[in-house]
Amino acid sequence: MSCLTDDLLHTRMDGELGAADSHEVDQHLRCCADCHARWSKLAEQTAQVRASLDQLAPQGEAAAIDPALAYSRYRQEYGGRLQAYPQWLNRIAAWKRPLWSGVAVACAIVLVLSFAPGRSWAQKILAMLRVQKVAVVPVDVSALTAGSRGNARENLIAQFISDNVVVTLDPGKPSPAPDAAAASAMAGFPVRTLDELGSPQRILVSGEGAFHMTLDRDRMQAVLDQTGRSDIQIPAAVDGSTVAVHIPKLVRSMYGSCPEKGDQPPTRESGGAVPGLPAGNCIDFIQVPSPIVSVPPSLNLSALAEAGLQVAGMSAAEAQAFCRTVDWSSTLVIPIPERDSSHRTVNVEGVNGTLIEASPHGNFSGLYTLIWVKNGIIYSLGGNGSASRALAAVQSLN
Amino acid sequence: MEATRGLTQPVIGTASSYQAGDADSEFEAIFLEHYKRVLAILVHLVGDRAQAEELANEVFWKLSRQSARWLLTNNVGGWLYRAATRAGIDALRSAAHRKRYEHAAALHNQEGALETGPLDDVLRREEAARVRAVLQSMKPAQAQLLLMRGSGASYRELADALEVAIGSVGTLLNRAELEFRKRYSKLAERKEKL
Repeated sequence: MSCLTDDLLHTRMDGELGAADSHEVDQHLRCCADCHARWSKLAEQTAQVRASLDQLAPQGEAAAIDPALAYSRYRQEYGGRLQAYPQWLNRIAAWKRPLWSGVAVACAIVLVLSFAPGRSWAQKILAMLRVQKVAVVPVDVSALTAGSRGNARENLIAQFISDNVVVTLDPGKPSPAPDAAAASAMAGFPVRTLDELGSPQRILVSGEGAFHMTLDRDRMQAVLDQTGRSDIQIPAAVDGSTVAVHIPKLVRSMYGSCPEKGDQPPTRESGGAVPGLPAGNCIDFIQVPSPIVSVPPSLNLSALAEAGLQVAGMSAAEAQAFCRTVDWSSTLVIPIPERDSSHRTVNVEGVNGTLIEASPHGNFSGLYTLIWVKNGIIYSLGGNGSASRALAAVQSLN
Repeated sequence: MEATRGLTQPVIGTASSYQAGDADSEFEAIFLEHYKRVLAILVHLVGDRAQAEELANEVFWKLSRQSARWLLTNNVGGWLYRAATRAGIDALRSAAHRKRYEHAAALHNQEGALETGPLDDVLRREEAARVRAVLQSMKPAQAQLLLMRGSGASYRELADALEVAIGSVGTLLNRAELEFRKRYSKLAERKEKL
């Protein structure tokens, strides 16, 4: 047997080798001075670390753990909340409620990463960023979902995101508001209405939410490797960086015939063309002040975004070219499926808005979303049918 | 420990076939199976049993908010131990804990004993504070590896929890131990200079 690796020595030391392999290692150690010396050194190292960790073990009665009793206490504290998890968190954790499901995964990678330090902050560690405009990038989402590994790939990426997301502020369930004035008072910013569409059928105000995620470079690279994209390298400097997001209160106004069921969007059963998406003449008007995204100034977001866009289907050259065109100081980048949608720039209230329309023959035919940013507020108008109705309606914004 | 829990009913979720009783019993089974190790990781990290129990409940609460589809297709145990490690390290990294542990570990002897009681207990608490400071400064995956191995997890359980090949566990443990010793030595040097 040739000399033993540290890996093998450690495995033998921990008693995790099979009988035959253990015997072989033991035989080798008896006649190889070098391996024996390394064994001794490894044993000393392991013993010291274990002794240190043993200092953390609880003593006496504190060591006793009764899972059944603990579960009983857990139910008393959390039992009523077992089935009421927030929808917006589910979006982040599972990314299953996007306009187009394949986009959400790319969005999760690119959206959070589409900011760059715009100004320094007193903390000296984090840079605070705010959205001032929106940019759309078409991507090939089939790269994420194609083939037999598609679902596993999507789950792996979603799992990476969900494992690393720590929710620090739970917005809870949205609260209904009787009118725009009340919604303004609840949300803390002036809520606007689309007068041409009449009074909103419903207005819901969502609470503030916040979460952060710590970037683990090894894990991100493992995701890329396991999805067959080991050619894409995550910069080492990313490791350990924390990205924090704070989302202010959000107001959602529903016009037309929208489903009555809480904060759930219209479903196929209520006449929607696609489950979970606007149906009939329902128009969803969402307003939210720019989320605050905090990132370390040293984080090379452009390089990271390039990696994200490549995962979403762009070539390295395309991703690099796109990233150079983006004003990273204040742009919200939204990836959309290039084959199932089109987009164009429209003028809304004197600013550039982006109108995204689903392709007529795709799974989301008839859907549109109009997004623009003005005075630090992000607006989104979505519906089913002709976007001209929405374009006419925004002319009546008060 | 199963790599993936084979569930035939949604645990928690919005699936149309969701039944409250089935979901509760499945979640309870997961809780009972993994609670001890989750709590052990957190107690080791934060040192305070009450706080560790609170964090453990938060971890299970977060699990309950995963979709039914996710729970059916993912490594629930691995997720729980990673989440517990991160929750414990996050708690350590809060300002209050950092000041309490790092400064107490580095300055305690120079400024005179702040603790009273048997010398062994004092030394033990001081050493525990130092070890926690080292763990919270490491990569969470490495800290998790050391804590789980210290609590008796097998290589198979470690491989499942960290989602790595079992053949690489020995290497990862070796690296984690080397990193721990390097950081521990640095902390000890800093203390001597003060």
